[in-house]
Amino acid sequence: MDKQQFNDEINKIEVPQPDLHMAIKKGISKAQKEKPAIRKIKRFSIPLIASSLVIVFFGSGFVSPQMSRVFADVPIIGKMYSSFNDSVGQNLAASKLVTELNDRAVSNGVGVTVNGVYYDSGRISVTFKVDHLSLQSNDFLYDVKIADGSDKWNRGAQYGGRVTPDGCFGQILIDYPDKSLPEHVTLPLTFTAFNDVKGKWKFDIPIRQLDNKKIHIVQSVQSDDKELKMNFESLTIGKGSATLDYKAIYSLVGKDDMARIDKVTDDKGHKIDVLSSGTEFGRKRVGNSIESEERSIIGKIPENAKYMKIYPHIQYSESFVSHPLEKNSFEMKSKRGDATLKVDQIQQSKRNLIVKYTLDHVDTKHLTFDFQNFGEIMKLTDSAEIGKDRPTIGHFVKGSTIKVLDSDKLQFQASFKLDGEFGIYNFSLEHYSLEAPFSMLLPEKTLPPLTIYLK
Amino acid sequence: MDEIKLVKKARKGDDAAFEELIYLHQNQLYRTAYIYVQNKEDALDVVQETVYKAYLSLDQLKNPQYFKTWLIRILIHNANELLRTGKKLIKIKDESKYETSDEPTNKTNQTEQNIDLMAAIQQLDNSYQTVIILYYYHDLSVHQIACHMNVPEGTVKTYLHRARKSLKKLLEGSEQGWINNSLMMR
Repeated sequence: MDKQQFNDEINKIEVPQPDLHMAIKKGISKAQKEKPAIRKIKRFSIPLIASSLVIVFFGSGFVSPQMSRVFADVPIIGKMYSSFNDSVGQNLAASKLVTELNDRAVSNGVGVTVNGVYYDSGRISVTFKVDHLSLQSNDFLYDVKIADGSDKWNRGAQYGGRVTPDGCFGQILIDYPDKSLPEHVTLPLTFTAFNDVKGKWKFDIPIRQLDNKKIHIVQSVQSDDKELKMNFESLTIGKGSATLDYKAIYSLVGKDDMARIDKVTDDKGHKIDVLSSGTEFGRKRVGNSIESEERSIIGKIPENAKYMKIYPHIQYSESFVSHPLEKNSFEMKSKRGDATLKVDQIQQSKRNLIVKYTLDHVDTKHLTFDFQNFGEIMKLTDSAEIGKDRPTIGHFVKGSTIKVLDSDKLQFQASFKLDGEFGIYNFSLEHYSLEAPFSMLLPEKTLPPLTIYLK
Repeated sequence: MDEIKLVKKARKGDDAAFEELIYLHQNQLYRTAYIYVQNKEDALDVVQETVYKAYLSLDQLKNPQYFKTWLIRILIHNANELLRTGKKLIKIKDESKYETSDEPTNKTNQTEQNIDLMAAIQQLDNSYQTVIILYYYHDLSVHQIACHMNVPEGTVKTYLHRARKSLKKLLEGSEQGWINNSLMMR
């Protein structure tokens, strides 16, 4: 089936823009009323809740109560990993490499038991069960502070909470935020809310990294246009996953581009899962380029693989391109690609601005997205506010309603609503510009694949 | 600003960034909801509920780059919930404004000769509807759909195959020849 034609059919559904904006507004304000405390950026309140922390440990001759042993049989842990589609956890559980804990904390009637931990190739997983929580759906929400709560920990964290017939399971996956991986980590976790129940459930989890092997790599790939170079530095092979570290060097114009790894295969051509690609440790300008230390984490490499192949790609980006509306027809051009937008006609009424335009030099073969969407994201902005992250309310219109005039010739008509709550207070063609998201039309470019020998 | 940056800002509690993210995908959200519930009011309700739930559970989004997929997942869940709880009865009737005829149509007097894609999707089983919409409209891979629906990849392929077959049958003889011609190609 042709996706473009399918999309054309679906896109015939008319979108009632004003009603839709209203529905979105209502949804947000309803949620804000319910979760004001949890979503505040700065939290000043320290809940004074008496929490009783009970740690039960299953020692078997170990002296330290912090230590716990690896259980021979971890069916519940296996179930938890499978409910979160965590193949690494499932493999490690099957190989008895998951450390089972039984650390429990209770606050305001809700109990939390941290029951499983692994730390492999730069990724930490903590699983826990929650009891005595009143449930509203198949998922449950929670708020947790990882370590000191700084952004570097939150950036690479993934949170899951699922209600299953076996209980409420939670998993936090954390990509270790620093480039060097310590062997031992004590991870403080403080939960502060489960659904509507606020409280304090505090854990200090001792974590030991599973054995790994580090291979140093000195290989580079570069895009044809020299806009990106990737210097591969090392591969750390853990028990259930592996970490690939590299330096991406972007051009100044491509400061927001993203180097990513698309696919990894073993010597037999079998795919190895890419678990995360593009964890960044900070971009910095060095001379005329932007250097970025980056990391990707992949699944288990088969034991007997002689080599693996890495397929990187780059997603180019550019900021909105703008053009004043003072003429009735003009052309706009992507700064980084060939795409052009030719404005054929502009008609203004009190309530609407109608812009007829044609897209050209667009790679329709490789871009599968809906070209209407490009127009729907165009903006009208007060020329004096171009470049601002957040233009003043009443000085811009974000988004338009698109009518396809000729899908083969990529001719469209955009209708910007000038009046109403989301309109412009005092619109005039002389003072306003059209902004177009050419980023969307930039192709993803593949880089040459790279072979890394493992033996 | 790119979407990943917006997601990160929104996760830190920047409401304007969250709103911007929703506006980026608003039309696809609405149209997807409409395919399921087939009328404007319910589609708007589904979008509103989706925005509400997404705002509350943004902390649980596993990977910022999958924001859109995650959002669509919430939306489809809400649409199904609305249909399941019987808040509305599905009328096999296309009420969208793109009909050229002003005459009301319904299943009994609508022959297969002029049945259109929307109505055909409506008649598919729920799981088939979802794979078709995710695969063709949201451009997800089989692997992504499998993660999204929490079923094995093989099951997604089976659903896709059966859904295409059902659509082909429903649309046989219709003017939408492009479906018949290319439906079984992939």
